[in-house]
Amino acid sequence: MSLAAGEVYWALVPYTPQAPFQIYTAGSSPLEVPSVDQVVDGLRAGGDAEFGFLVRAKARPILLLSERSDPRTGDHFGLRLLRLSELSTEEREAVRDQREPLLFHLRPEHMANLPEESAALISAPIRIHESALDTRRLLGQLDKNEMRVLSERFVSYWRFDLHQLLVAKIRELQARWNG
Amino acid sequence: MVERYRTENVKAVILHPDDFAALQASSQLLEEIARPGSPALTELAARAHQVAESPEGELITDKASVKRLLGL
Repeated sequence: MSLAAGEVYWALVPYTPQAPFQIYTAGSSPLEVPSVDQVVDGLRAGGDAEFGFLVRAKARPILLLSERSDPRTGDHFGLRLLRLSELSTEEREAVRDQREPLLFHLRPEHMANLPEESAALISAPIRIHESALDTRRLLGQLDKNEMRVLSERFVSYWRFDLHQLLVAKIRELQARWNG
Repeated sequence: MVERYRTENVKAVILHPDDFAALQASSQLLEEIARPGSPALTELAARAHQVAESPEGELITDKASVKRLLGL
């Protein structure tokens, strides 16, 4: 199935692991470890040893940032969403007016199957395997202009260094003008 | 510029066809070069991805062993 940037689907999304970490142990309650150093030191001491970690997850809609996918990796790249009902009236208005750059408002008229009015969280990118993405039903889709604004905010917030890319594009533009 | 009532209330812009064609060509050119060249996922890169995502060591679930490794 071919997916497009800006499409929204349900997905199984884990919360990003953070301390204290819960380590699975067979037949007993998980072990809680307060810091990552302790886990790293323990695993390194065990050679190739691995632990099982308990990580909470839930079904939530995500917005695909890229149409790029490859069956050999099965990975997709997206953003978590936030329901506007989680915000105050004033905050909701700010998001709807696009005055809050890190919360990209998803206009309900473009999100016909999304249960609640939401915003895409520029600060919360996530990698999702195709087996964790429910593509049976498209929840909505941003148009090309919206995706351009969202992409601009994304690279700006995450401070991607696009210097080389910009220089190459300017040179390409100059060459095309001169040609 | 076609105004209505006041100069700040512009309703339309009238262009000479040559100017419109030039603007259209610029817009199309920008559209064409805006997308970055996208490198393909090579066989090596795909294999590396799979290796990185594959468990490679022994999964320790025995509580005593976990505690020993963690120094608890």
